Parts: sequence; structure tokens; C-alpha cells
Amino acid sequence: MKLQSQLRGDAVHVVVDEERIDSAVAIRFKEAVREQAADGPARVVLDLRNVEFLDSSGLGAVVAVMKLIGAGRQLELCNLTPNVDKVFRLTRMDRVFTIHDTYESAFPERQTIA
Amino acid sequence: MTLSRAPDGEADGSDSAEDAPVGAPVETRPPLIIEATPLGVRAALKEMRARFGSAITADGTLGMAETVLAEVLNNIVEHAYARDRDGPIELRLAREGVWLQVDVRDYGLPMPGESLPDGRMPGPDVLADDVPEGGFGWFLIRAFARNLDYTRKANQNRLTFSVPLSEEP
Repeated sequence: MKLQSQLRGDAVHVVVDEERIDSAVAIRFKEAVREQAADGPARVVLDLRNVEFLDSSGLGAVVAVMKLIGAGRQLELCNLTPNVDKVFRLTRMDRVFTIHDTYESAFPERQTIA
Repeated sequence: MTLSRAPDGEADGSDSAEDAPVGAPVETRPPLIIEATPLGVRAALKEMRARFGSAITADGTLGMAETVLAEVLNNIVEHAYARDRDGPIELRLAREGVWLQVDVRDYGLPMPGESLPDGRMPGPDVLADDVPEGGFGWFLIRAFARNLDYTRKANQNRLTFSVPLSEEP
């Protein structure tokens, strides 16, 4: 499971460097994101720009991460590809997670610098 | 080895029917034999993309048809062949216009009550501590698959359905 994470202002930005989050990798994905987010800022922004496919195991893993990172912290999503976006919206998980269309909307304070 | 195939049959029977085809899929070639593991499922989906992906969609993806097939196959791996049970999954695919006809057979445990789950959506209470993270699979299947039919005969589960290869009109 390849992830790249970086602290940006009030959040940790975690880019998932995998094409698929399916049942073959869901458990490793959950553990890896939890590790990256541990003891970090309250806001965790999961960047799914590279993920072309996410099944119900992957969706369950994202929900599990939300629970694992603990109370008072939030998991947000950005850069969903079309089919992944569809899965989140159909299952109404767009009401559970804050979903940003783009990286810029997930980190608005960076725009003022530019 | 996660995937095997009997010698290839004839080419796809493809005509331009726009409506969801009714009835059992036509068997025009031998089934794909899929190993009932997560990597077997991956291999099957890759094969499916190779055979049907570019036929309809500009980007070569199968859209939600891939999601539906993934959920169906994952359910067999996780439930029909749960624990120490093992066996093959047979997958037969045929395209009719924008519809993919799917016939999936396995030799594992029957569906509970020998009928299809209703696929109720878990909803926002999924975040409650006592709610499991699963439960989205059948919801996604029912959102896109048409003509779903399940039969249990002897030791075989057989699920047939149609799924559009593109959601665009």
C-alpha cells in the first residue's frame, strides 16, 4: 500500500498512490492510513486522485478509518475520480464525509499565498 | 494461478439491442474459471475490461458494471466460500448492445433463505460504533443490475443479471 503524506497547515494531506482499493487491499489500506494519520492534526484529507476503482470493501475501509482516527478528528476526501465519486454519492456517504472536488478547495489557505 | 480459461469459442455475439435483455444469458463461449480469492476477482475484472471495456465507453472503463461484478464475486469469496470452503467460480459474459449479460455460478453455501438480499442501504448510522462497515455491496448491485435471478440447484448457486456498460444515455 503506497501512501504519501505531508503536513499542510491545519491538516495532514494523504495521497493514495494505488489504482484500486478493493477487497485485496482494504485491510492494508485501513492500517496504512491510520498509521499516517496517527497523532497528527485534527483534519485528515485523503486524496484519491489515483484511485480509479473502489468497491464496497474499500468504502468500508474508508468508513473504518473515520472511526479509527478518533473523536474530535475528521476525515475529508478530495479529488475523487468519476466512478469513485459515484460510489460515495450513491451510498450517501457524501453526507458522512466532507468531499472536496479539488486539492485547492481542501486547502483554501494556500490560495491566498499564491 | 487466479484465472483459467477453456479454449476460446467464437467471437462475441453483439447486436444493438438497447433494452435490458430478458432471460438467461446466451452461452457463446466456455466460462472463465475464477479462483475464489480477492486476487482471483481482480484477474476476472481485468479480463472483463479487456473484453468489453473499450466497446462502449470512451475511456475504456466499464463504469459501474465493474463495480457490480466486483460485489457479486466478492460476496461469493467471502460468504459462499467462507472459511475452509473452497471451489471455483464460473463466469459467463455476453454483450448485447450496451448491456452485459452475466451468469455467475459457484458451489459454495447457498444464499441465506435461498433468496437474494434486499440491499437496504446502511445509511449515516454506519459511523455508530456497533455498525459494521459492510452492507454496501448488495445496495450497489441492486442500484445497477437488472433482471436479477438466483437459483439454487443441487450444490450450485447460479446468479444471472444484466448490467449496463455505460450509464450515459
